[in-house]
Amino acid sequence: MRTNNKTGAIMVIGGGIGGVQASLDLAKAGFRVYLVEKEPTIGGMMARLDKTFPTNDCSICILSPKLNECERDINIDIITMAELIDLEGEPGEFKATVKKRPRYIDEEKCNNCQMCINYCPTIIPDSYNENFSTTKCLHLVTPQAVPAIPFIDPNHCLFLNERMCKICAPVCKYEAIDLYQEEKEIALDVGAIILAMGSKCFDPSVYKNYGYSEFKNVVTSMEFERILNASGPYEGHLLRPSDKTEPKKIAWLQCVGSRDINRGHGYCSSVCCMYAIKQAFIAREHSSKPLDTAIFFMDMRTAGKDFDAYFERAKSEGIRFIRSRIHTIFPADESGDLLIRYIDENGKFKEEKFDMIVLSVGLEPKSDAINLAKKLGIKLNENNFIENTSFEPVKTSRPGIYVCGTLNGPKDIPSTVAEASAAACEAATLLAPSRGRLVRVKEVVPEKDVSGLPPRIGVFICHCGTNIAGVLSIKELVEDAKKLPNVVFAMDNLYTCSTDTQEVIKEKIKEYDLNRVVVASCTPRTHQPLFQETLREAGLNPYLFEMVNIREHCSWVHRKAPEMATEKAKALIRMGVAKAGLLRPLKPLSIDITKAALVIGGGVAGLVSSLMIADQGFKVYLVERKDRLGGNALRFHDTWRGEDVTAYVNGLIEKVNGHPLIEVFLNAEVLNAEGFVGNFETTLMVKEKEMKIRHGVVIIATGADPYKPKEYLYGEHKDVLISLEFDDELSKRTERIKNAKKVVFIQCAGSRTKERPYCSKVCCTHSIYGALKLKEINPDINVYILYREIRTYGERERLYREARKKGIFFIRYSLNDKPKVESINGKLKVVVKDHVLGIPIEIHPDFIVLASGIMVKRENVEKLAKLYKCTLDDQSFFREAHVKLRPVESSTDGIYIAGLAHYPKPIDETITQAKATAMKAAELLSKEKMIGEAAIAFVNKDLCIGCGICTDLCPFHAVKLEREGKKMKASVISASCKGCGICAVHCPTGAIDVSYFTNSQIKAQIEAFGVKDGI
Amino acid sequence: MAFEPKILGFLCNWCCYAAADTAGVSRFQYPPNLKVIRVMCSGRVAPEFIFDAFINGADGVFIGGCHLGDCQYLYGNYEATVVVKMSSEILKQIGINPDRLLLSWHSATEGSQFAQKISEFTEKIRSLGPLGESEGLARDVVVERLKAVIEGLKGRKIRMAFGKMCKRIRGQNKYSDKAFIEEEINRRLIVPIKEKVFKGA
Ligand code: FES
Repeated sequence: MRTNNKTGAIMVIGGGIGGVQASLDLAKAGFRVYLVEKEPTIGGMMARLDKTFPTNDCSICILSPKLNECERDINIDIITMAELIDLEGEPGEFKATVKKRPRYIDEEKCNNCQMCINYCPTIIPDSYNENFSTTKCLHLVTPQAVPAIPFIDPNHCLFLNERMCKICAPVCKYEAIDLYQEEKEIALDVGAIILAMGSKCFDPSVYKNYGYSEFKNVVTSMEFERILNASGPYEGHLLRPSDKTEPKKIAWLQCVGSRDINRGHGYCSSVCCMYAIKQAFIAREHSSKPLDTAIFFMDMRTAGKDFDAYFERAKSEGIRFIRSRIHTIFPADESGDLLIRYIDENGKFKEEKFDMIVLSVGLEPKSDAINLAKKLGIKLNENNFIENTSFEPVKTSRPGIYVCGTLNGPKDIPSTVAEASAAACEAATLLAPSRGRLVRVKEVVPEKDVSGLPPRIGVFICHCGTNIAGVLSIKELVEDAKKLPNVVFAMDNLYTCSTDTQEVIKEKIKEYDLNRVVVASCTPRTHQPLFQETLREAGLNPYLFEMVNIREHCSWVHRKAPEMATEKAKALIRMGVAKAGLLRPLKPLSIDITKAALVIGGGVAGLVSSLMIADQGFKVYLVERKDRLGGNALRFHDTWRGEDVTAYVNGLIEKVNGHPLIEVFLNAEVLNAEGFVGNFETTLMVKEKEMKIRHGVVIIATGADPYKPKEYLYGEHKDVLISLEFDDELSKRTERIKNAKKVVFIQCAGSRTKERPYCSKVCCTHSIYGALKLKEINPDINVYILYREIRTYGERERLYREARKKGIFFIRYSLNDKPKVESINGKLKVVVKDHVLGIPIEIHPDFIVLASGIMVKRENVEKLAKLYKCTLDDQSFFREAHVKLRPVESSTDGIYIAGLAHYPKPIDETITQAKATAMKAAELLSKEKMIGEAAIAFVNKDLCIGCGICTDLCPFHAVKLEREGKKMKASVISASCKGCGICAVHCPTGAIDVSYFTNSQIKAQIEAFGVKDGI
Repeated sequence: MAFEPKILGFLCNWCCYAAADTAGVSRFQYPPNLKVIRVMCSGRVAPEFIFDAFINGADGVFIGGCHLGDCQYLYGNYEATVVVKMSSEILKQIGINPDRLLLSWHSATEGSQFAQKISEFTEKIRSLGPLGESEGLARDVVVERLKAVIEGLKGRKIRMAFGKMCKRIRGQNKYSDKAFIEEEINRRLIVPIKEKVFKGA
């Protein structure tokens, strides 16, 4: 047998949310990651967005923690300003060459004191803010930049271009500025590659009649994101660019560059409908006066989870939706106002003036990504996205190279995140034999026991160059600190965070026998981990550390009141020292993991998930309620691209049945479940026998059912079918199919109604595909598709275009004027009002196909949700932990969701989710032990009265009641607790408290706050 | 010397503390009267902390969290709304102007909004004067009442009532139902606390 030479490292190209997610997943699962980013900072497009739909979450707020996590992970090397230029070798053993452009700042030496920025004399347009504002030539891309290292823009630097200036270099105390830095090549051995280079916004200049280059108040949607953003050019004030006044009327024009084969792209960009609604919402929030918002669209494609509800809410809150594609924008007058002309739904000609117009530009592949793909010999599709198949959605045509995100076709953030985890899963599966081979582990220094010792606190106060010392009197702070209780040592440092100071801190800990350390410098949100590491290296528990923020919260914001600011800093240090005196060492619990997964549901999602977990070397128990595997997919025949689903599913079933690590239980159901992440024990009922299974994670892939319509004579007339029945006849080419002359499809039969206020996402594409097949069989057939909105999102738009070309009739109806179906002497009659002609049309079809949507029966999932503590939404779909960034995780750790159980979706998206859940499972199962959080809740059993208030209020079900003798007592599930402290606030006896933020520590801070008078 | 208000702030790590950081990075200036205690979530702030802050010399107390719906711990800031509502009610009952307690949401990017909010709050407290002044109460009276409140809040019965009330609000998802919360607070908490505070008087 050939020995395994595979390299346990992966290169991820592109540091947007997709690349970041893939990197984090892989690093957690035991691989080394090289994250190669072209720009000076990671974060990609998402970092520049203001809010995200449909929850209006702040984009950077939810992204930042992931970026920081990436930077801190010792198994992820972030290589910025770099590109892959050459690749040799085979999957598993690639040799890659990366070219890194000069940043002109030594990343090792720089500690982001930003002194150099103050001195740089060159002001340049800030491209991060779409050039609406300016920045320095030497600058930090954004305050939240990761890595937090400035860079010099070589296009504008006076020295680099004209050999003048050079002011910045001597300013830097660390000699980090190197204006002679050169491009360099880095050779890396990697086993696999993930392409995550994203896409860019379409440039609307080609639409001459929109006057984007001419009219200042016509902006792109990305420009509008920056305008709305609090860190943007106008600090979040809604202003229009021409005269910086607040607009009163804004219009959005949809499909700019999308669904237009002549000037833009033929495909639909998938995200613009939703982001336009979001922008309208946020703009209204930002506006001091009532703001008139109008969205001009062709179809509102709000097909995702909770999207239709968002759309409905927008309508009810007064956002106007006007179905019209606008061809020209005219200037209204000299004022900068703009004019639009359109025909309204009633056929009337209208003219309307707006203060500002946003072009909802689509997404398109970037040229460097296209070039790289070509160079690597990877196939692209007709739209220049990576070519894939429905069954292998994240594989490129070249083995060992995977893809995720918008480079793989237009999509939103959660789909990108799911694809990222799926791509990571492919790479991890390919390289499974080499897992853990290249990981770096931290050296462990034995910890000094400080229990019972009186606190001996050392205080280190940072000048941060002049950032702090320029405002505060550091000398006074040091003198004051020395007098505080328990402080045995205090000193100041030019830069407390620099590498040499870490050595100083370690020496002082030894010299003065310090057992608590306080650093007064910048924000703990970025720097605490660094100092905690120093403590660890000095043999002190990292939780014997407290950080005081005298830069962001003091010197930087009180520049005009240096004396008061110094007093404030003294108080802050006093409070920090008071807390430090009460700090206790904390040990995160490490828990053994049962290395097996339970997969519930044997449809495509469950099968794929099982296989991918087992292929990575873990045991899988697959539970199916019915007597055979395959689920809903057994009833499908083709994907929208014409791929054979039946063959695919049969192939999956065969592989699952033959896999040595997968144990399948048919006719089985979950009876009971206990435990939590890492260690569950589930009781199954298998063919009337009970059995217990132990496992570390759960994948919920319970699928959904087709809705059985009560409307349109379904079940009463033999010629009224639902899509699945039609599919079956189509594949068998029944007489009815062969002889049909007229067929009607009715869309949204039972979807997007009051009872089921969501879109089933797949039906538009499905019906159009069926209609085209009918045309293929009999070109003379007349097919009518009665619809409310055609939602052939993304590249599926191709089918819609083809259908119209082939003469399929599309007739739009509205919810309050639904088509009427009658049976007259056994013959069907359909009456529908044509929206163009405005008159009723009568059709006598041979048969009717109802696009009947997908639903979940509550009774099928309710018990499961309860047993595993997951939540269901109103429609009985499982809720994800976070709609944007944790699309396949439930809010309970260790429980993942894939496929229709989460929401209706096509097979490619189901497969992607299934692979993503397999990655999540592998992340956990690949560890020897699970390390929990350390700063979590703890219970004083003597005080606990077992009232259960904490168990009910804990958002993560992390506290449980256990019998102890005769009494019930609360106990914290360390693996699940996240340390928010809600329990501590509500405990009636003070029995439960939270480490590192204990009641007494906070009380000490409050008292220290009050010690002196003054401010 | 002119009166300088003392303000204590509890900021959640994920959003409001980050907003204060952003204010710093962007150099948005605000008065130095605020001192900050970092907590992981606005839901960590117990009512006792608020009253304790006043006893320890605060003229104003600020609590900052994530926008509703953005809490890292799902419900933390909703819980904070209840705690603050209840604490304001108690302040009112013992004669302290509840405007001295402010709850505010700021996302990580909202540095300028944070700076502005703190400036406004500082001016507000400045106009109210030292704790007790605008209320027409002597400081020792104020402190005595606050201490009685804290004593009262230690009582197991009251604490049970508080915990159960929060359970009900969560269970019935009534966070946005102001009337419901007010009614709950008044019925279950204010009466017994008032009894404790004013029993001798
Ligand atoms: S984490 Fe910010 S309020 Fe809970």
